[in-house]
Amino acid sequence: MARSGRNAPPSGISGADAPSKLHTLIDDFCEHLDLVVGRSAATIRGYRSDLYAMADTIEDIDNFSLPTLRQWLGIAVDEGKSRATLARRTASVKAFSSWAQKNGHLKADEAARLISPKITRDLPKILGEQQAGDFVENAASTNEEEFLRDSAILELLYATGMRVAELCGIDLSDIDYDRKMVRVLGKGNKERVVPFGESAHKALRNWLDVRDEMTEDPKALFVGVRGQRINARQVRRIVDRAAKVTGVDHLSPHSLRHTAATHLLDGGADLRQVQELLGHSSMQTTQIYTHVSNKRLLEAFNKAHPRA
Amino acid sequence: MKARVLAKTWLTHLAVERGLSANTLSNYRRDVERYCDWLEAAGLDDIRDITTAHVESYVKDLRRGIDGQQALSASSAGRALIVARGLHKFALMEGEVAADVAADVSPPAMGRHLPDTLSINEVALLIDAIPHSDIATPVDLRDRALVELLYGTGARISEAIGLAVDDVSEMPEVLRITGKGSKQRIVPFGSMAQQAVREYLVRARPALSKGKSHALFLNQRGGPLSRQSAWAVLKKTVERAGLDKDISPHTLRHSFATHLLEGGADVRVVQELLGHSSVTTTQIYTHITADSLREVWRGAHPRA
Repeated sequence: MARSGRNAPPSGISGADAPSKLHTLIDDFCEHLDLVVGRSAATIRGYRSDLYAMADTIEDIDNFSLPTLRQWLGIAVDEGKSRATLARRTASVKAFSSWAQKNGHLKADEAARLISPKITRDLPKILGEQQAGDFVENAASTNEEEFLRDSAILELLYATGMRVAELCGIDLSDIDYDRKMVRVLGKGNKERVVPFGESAHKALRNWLDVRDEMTEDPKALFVGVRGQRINARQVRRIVDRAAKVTGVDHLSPHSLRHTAATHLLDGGADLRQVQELLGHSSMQTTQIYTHVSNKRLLEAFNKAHPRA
Repeated sequence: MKARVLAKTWLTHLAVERGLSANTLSNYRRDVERYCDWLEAAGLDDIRDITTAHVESYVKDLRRGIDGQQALSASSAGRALIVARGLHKFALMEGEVAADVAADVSPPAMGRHLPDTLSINEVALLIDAIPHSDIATPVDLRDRALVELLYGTGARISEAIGLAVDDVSEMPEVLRITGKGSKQRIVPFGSMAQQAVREYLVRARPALSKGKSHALFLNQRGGPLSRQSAWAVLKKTVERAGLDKDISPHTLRHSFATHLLEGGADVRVVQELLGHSSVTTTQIYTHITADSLREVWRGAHPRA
């Protein structure tokens, strides 16, 4: 039986062809994440690249210990890796270590005592309401069809704060024009529907009028070069070019997500509702996305402080 | 103790002491037999030899596909795992093992798929795509009655085809529907559905009937309409209406629920009408209507 070897309880470390053994274990771990835990492809890709980087330095599972792991992370610090990268690498080796111990590849959970560095978060660039209003009308495109497409993309990104990957994945049938809602597939394979307004609605209609001239694709809402479904890189460029016209240097689609979240909060939506709109599993993440504006701080202060 | 012997005791226990329905029980039997086959192939006859790593390997193999069988989705593998876990829990209860090795193995994460629904307009298009006046054939009239009834009552296809002529012949205000787990529920029988069913009964069913079936919906040979044929009717109708939509057998049921919520019905009421045991199942529809979210968005977003 071919699979009985796999199913046999994991035994001790063999020692033979040692350098590749760690890689094999990493692959086994990733397969476990995929099939048993059900993690998404993107998550697994992240784990694998972190762990392969670790294997480059540590080389053998026998060397997998708290001191060597610290050493490895130290090298990353010297290389100037960001704290976010360090935190993710730490999380990856901790998860791997715990799995390896449970499956008998390690005698002890070596990485258990490793502590993730605190992540400092730079405040992302946020557009003001006036600026955002200008921005969505500033698509800088070379021809009429692309202008209509880009305008629809900008309106939809700002209206919904959706992720770029979500935007690229929208099918024609995902838009409900009667209800003005769009269905998107978010992280962790979670679907949600988000509302958009009259101006996004109009922009979408205008784009649909010319869409068929650009593509024969029966499904994708937005298409790019050669009529293929649009990709993240193209969306980034569309956003960036419109930002330049508006007088903003380097704006990422993700900044638009922050902007949308912040403006919703400013407009009176509460954190719980913004969480649902953005498709966050945890409200803590939403908190990072919404930046309390000066206006709101001042208002709250003036309203609440006795000596305001 | 041999896992297979224990499994047999367990199934008896489920049937006798837990009173599981025949349907559920046959699903359990299929899954537990698959697990025992897998254990045997791996040389693990005794329940005491099985470790957590083995249970995880089982999930892995299910998702890869065992012995040339189809690889299972996360949700199907999850259901199969739940049954294997049940067996290990039973082993502990019976004192056959000292620890429940499967307790910590969780089903794979599955994401969240929102039900496919049609808008109110699209449902109208769908129904109008079926001829109903003098040009309608008996099959048209049947199809129209079926679609009206599915959308009007939110019944599952299996429930609709389970209806007998006697259930509707007096055009009651409500229908008694027998659903999953033999649970019965009462749903309103609306005027549009009534009219379509009446037209079908008067002008079409006699032409289809060979006098051998009491089923409300008949196929062209006079037998009861099967689930597959009913589903084919839905698909054909969507094509006729020219709707560019992914649909499933439950699309009209999902639309029924969504439109009721949009019309202001309470989640609890919709739960009763759909025959859900738990309100959390019904709650998924509130993600689609997202009415409160739309209102919030309109009030808060600068581009509203």
